[in-house]
Amino acid sequence: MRHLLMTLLLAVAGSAQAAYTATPNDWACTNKVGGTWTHGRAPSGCDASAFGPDSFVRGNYAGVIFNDAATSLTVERQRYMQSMYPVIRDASDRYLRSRKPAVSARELEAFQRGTYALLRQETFWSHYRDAQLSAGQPYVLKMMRGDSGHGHGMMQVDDRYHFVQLQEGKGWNMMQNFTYAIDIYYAAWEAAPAACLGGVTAPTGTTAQVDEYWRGRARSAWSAYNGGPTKVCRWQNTADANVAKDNGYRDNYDNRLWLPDVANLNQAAGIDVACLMDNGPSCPVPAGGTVEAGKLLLVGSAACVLNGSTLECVDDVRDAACLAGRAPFAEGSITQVYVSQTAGFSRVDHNRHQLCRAQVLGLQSLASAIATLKPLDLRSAPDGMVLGQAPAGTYQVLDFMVSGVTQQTRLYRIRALVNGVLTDGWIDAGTAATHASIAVGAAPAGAGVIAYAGDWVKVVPNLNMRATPGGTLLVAIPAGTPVQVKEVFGTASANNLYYRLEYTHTDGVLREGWIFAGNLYPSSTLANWAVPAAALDASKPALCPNGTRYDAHLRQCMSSSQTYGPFTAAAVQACLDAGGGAVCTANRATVVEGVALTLPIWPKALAAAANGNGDCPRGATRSAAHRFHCTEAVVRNGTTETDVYGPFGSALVNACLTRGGAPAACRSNRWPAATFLALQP
Amino acid sequence: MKSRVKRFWAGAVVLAGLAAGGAWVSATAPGSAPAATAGPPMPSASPAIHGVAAPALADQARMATGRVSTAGPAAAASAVALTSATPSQALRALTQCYAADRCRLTRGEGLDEHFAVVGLLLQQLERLAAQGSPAEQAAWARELLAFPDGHVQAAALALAARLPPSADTVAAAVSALAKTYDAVLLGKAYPVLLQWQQLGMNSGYDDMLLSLVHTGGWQAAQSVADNIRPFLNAGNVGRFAQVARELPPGARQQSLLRALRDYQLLQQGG
Repeated sequence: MRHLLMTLLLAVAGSAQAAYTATPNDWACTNKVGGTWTHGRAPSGCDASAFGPDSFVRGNYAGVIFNDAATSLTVERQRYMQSMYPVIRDASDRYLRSRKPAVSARELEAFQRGTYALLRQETFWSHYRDAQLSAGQPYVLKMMRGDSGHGHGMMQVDDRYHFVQLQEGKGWNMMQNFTYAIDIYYAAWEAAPAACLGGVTAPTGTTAQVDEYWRGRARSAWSAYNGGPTKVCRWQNTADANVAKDNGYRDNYDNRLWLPDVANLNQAAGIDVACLMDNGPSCPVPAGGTVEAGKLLLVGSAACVLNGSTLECVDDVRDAACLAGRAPFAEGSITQVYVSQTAGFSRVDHNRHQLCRAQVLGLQSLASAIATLKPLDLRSAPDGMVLGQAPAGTYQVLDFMVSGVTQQTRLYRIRALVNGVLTDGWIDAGTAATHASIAVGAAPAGAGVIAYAGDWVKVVPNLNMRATPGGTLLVAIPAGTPVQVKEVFGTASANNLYYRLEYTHTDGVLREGWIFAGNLYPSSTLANWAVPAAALDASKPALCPNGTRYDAHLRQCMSSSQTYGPFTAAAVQACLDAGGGAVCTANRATVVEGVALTLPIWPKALAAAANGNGDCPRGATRSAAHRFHCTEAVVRNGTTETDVYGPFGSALVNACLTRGGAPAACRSNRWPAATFLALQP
Repeated sequence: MKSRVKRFWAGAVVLAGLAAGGAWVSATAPGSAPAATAGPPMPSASPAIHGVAAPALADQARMATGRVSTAGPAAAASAVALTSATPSQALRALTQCYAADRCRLTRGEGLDEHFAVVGLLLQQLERLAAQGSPAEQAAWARELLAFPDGHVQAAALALAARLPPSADTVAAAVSALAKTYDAVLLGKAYPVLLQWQQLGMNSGYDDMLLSLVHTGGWQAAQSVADNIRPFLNAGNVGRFAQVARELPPGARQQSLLRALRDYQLLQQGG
């Protein structure tokens, strides 16, 4: 009988991807295993890793993975269902309240019951399972695949009609599987009254009559879920070819056949249901607790660690690994605390773009160029399905993520040509130990999605030019004005982009400052702010010695093997400390735009180590008083002086020369603060 | 998992009407009342069609539906009938039989029938785009925007986007999108909506987008929150701000708040 019931491991109605994709049976199904018609073990299972890393599942779905290796499958089944029930209870509650904020308790109860019956009917609540291919083989994480492999996950999303979405994890990620498919059930739930329940939406009558009404709603919803939008009343037709399935659903609903394996209906969910429904990239189970060192703290949507008496935070938990360099914490769990609990602590909110770079050696910055040294899998999300291979080549970093406190796996979002189509996706660029052989900083090759230093853009509306990103207003640049980008700076988890410009206003005054340039995700707004434009002239964003190029990420001029100074005093000291010897302090002759000057020139590896991986070279910090340039305070002849580091573009250099600056000094990448400030009205 | 019983289906009742000459098939513009509903039961297919063309047609049916066909010769004959009818006639036949649940292209298990009809509708929409008059195309685009399948709606929207814009088409799109839970369809719709918005044809946008982001489908609501920015203006930003305040904490609220901040920032010039 159960085999009959399971004839309904079915697809769900179509959505708008590019129509039908003729996937074969068992598409992307490796090491297929069977099962039993019991909770958590319905046939079949295929390797979950085809759609995303097992580490994501194990890190976020602990407890709701059926373990075939358990001594007693009966006990394991009850454990599994006891873990699954609160998850579905909370997810269906959150879902329905989002669709109907004022939903009645009676409707909510019926909707949840209908959902439980749906899961029982489709897959016996099966989704993740550790199973072995055959006796003696290792246990491997599987995900539910039914209907000759076409149905994905506990909700049985069909790969022939939801191909794109399944690549995005709507089958593999259990809560995404739920939210994606429950929309279809809900649509039919809402269509049912008009279609086959006489238009009644708020039933009255005896308890039995009201119960019967809600039973009809649930049966309608499932008939349409199973058969399509026109089949919402199918269950009322006892002559329909699918009557056995409709009756199967009815039996599940009436008899609540999931309940025998659920002992405690009020138990709390063991996973972060809300975070996973929201497609969070990292959803460790929050546990209420106190503010204390050694823990990762969730404060609102920010992630924090306690460093002494200071909370150090990033605005999104996905960047938590970058906090490890500030204060150690235990991975794998996150402690949720109320903002009020943090009142007694000072707090530093880090910009992820600066913090992560500083803490993760070799991490490339947003909008910089990287060269991948071999073909890499391009995934739809950091933990998503492989879309194809991005060939070895040069790409722009469109976003980044660091995973694992110790491993420091760096993931980059790039745009790559995959199967002839430009596709945005994520690559794994290796760990702290391996990244140098996988992806390295590079010179840009071609136009980027985001402007590179030296690119020209046209501002779209009248745009404010500010002294620092988001800082004091200097002047408004009229809409349509072309300007050259000297530097790109990102802030916050939204990757807010700011461009540094040198701009001569209608008053004839040259100013240096920043404009906001939009952000890329969740959807790009770049076109609202500044769009690519043709170069007006041959201006340079920074001046470099002959035969070198300016690297915007490292903020230095460099050849293929050498990095050109000037270097900060702290970097020079680091160079000496590393045994660099005389090269650290020697000045060597070079030529910049026909003008002779002397600069220290170091081997690239030595320079990289000495400079560090910060947003500014070692010893320097961003200065709001100096247009957000990196500055370093140095003592020379007993006097403390401030050095300002470039980039100084053609306009500023010309202004420096016009004011009588020394030709060599003006073309250097380091100016005395007084010289710099004299050129900033 | 499904019991794939192999048997021929003798149905294809409505589509067979086309094969028999389409006598009862409406040739009127879409949206008008059907000239006939299901019509009388028709012979499943003519012997000539069976005898001559059935094997190739079965392949055609497979291509149309993308499945291993469980339909029999009658359905195969229907496929040929569809290609010999005008696109409008074929679309009318398909929408009518679908609405009446009488297409019988498959043996009716689960969603097989729905998917089969969708495959044929998409095929006919392609033909319509190549062969139909602008008026026919516009009328069918409007009608099929309301068809309960995202694939068909997306194709109808793509067709509508290529036609001279009209208030009726925009209204049909807005009405359809207001009811969708399909984030992929919405993703395809935003550029079209923006195109119409630039022409001042954005009547109904605000209510549609507000409804979706507030109480729409889970994926659809998130999609709107992620993509709302170009649709914000001085006249509606207050209403979206109100909805943002009412949303429960979560990704959707964060996205909407981010869009609102971005809008305010743009108003200030960055």
